[in-house]
Amino acid sequence: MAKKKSNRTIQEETAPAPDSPFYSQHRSVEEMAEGFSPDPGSCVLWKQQQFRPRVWLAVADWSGQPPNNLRPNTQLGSLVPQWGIGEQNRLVQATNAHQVFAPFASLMAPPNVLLAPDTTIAQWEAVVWTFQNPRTACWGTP
Amino acid sequence: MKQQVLALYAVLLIGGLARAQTQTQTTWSAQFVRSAQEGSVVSLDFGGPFKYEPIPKTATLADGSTMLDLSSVKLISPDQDTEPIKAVATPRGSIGNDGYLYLELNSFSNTIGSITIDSFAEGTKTFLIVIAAKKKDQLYAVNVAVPARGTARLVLSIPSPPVRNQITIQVQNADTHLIFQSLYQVMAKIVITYDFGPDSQVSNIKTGVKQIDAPTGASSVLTVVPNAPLPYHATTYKVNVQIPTGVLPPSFRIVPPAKTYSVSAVANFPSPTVLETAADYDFEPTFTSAVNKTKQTRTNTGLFIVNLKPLLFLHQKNVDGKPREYSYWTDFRPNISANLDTLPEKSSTTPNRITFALDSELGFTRQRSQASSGKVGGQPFDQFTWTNGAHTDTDRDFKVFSTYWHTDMAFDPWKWSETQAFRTRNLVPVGNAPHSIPTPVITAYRFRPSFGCDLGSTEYRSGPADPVLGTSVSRVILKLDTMLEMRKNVSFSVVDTGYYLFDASRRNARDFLLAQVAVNTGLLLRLDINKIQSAVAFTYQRGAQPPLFKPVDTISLGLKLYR
Repeated sequence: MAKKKSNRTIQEETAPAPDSPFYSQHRSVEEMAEGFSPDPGSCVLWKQQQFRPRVWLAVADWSGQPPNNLRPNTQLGSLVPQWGIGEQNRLVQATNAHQVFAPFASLMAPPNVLLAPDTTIAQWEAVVWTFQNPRTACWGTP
Repeated sequence: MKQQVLALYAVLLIGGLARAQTQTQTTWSAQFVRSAQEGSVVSLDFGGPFKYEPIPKTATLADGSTMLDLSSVKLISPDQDTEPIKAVATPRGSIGNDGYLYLELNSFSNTIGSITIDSFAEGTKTFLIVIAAKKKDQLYAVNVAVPARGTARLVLSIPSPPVRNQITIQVQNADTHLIFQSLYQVMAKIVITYDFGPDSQVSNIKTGVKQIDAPTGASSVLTVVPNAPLPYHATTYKVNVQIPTGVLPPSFRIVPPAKTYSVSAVANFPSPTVLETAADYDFEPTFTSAVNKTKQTRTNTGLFIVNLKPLLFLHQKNVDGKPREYSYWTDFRPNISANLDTLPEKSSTTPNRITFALDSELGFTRQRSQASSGKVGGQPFDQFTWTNGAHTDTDRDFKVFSTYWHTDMAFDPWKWSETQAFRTRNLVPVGNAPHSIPTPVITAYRFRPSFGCDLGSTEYRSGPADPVLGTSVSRVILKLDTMLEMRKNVSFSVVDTGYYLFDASRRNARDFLLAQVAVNTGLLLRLDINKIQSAVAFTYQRGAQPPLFKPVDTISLGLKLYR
């Protein structure tokens, strides 16, 4: 009986050679964020001034509300007709469409639970931050 | 106390405003940040967005209550012989329409010229940020802790629920890999305390460290896995990590000297805001009057209704941000529903039924056309939920067991249902005072049709088989679930389930109706524990339902506890 090939071997065999026109150099998350210095201070400012506003804009986009109508204590369940898994899916999708972790090439992984409808925007920001995937160089920034 | 002294000092210092009122803001917070790109800045958070107007250089807070003059922001140093420090205020974190999330203070100066506020030898100084309001003689103040430049320190932060098994420690101004090795060696001696405060009924929890993950790449963060996961608690609590001082480099000097170096952060795990299992729970004890049509009698009894329907193992797909028309999810919903009375078996005419089910759901949403985007409530979409599961039905006395495969498809088009939170929302633009809006008469409604079928057989029976129903389960189900809530307190719900029994020898079509009027008494009974609500419910049940399809005609008055 033929021995089953591992996925790793298959990847190695099918990856294009460096001289191939289809070759592209693998870039790590850190490389994608080139030019951004992930020192603790810069991470704090990036999280406050770029990550948070993008999360708000994603919520605004998802709910059809002007962003300046939102508050940190606005409940997600009050922004859409019926909060549920479908709406949570759409919110994760909108969050990722807004590339909230740019310049890092990370996405928000969908949380494996249904959040309660009284989850506030401030709590949602924390959920998005916690579910970053892969973890950015700024992971752990308070 | 120190803050009050600083506030008083500010009043006396700034322009001799003897009549000025200084208000220390508890909802505001300020953070000193030194970054490689921007240098030293103070980031000020007003607890929400603010509206910025560049020409008069003013910031109007979210609720419109206060207009701040950003042209004269000052920092008061705790050193009494120093003069106020001027700072340039710049709005940051734009959310559009002149709305911002942060005010950044930089370019610090005094009468001599440009200065740095963290150029002291060691320790931490607390500065008071004073901002004048446009309203005369009003000053607002908030303090900011500024550590000495280059101070080595550890900063703790807590991820959000539902992740409860991780704590992160950021290493500042020290070698992260060296700190990791030091902590790894004394892992058993590190103490983590969950401190719920003096007002909590819960005892503080002391635990240790199970694992420390090494920093990856250029990251300055260590991920710590505690032995006991972060507990849910109604209010925020403090997480304190104590590290033996001896293992840390000399740069982590503690004044006064102590055996442990402590770092702490606030944890916010308010059960059940974010739940491991978001579930439908319903318990309803009632006093019931049941009609026995055969004997033409009416009997009074207790009837208990229980529904437990947790949601587990949720997986979501097609949510990576790429333009997509559909998204999917799967989940697992084991559930129990029981409807039991206290009458003798022979005279019981209430809907005695116990159902155990292992259901899995496949749901998907379909985005409607882009032309209708931008509406309140977001992009319109339709949601379909396909449920499949193994069910077992039995009567109260376990005389008949039917096991069958159940499948149904539920349809939730956009706005066929609206929740109370959505219909009674009150949103106003930043900088405007909130105004009360009239509560609509209909504060929530639901219209949810579904259809499906059951296929199986009666596995166990005590006594002869019903000659009409036979021994197999083969039926089509059509269900309509409707609800109307008025003025937030009174809800009318009607759930009608129609069955078509293929194998019945007569009366193939059966029907079961459950109608209920519920008056919310959550506030009256003070039962807002874990968001459990209560209602006085008046219920009418009529028809027939599996497994026995006995005729039912009952009226019940009871208390409903639900979530």
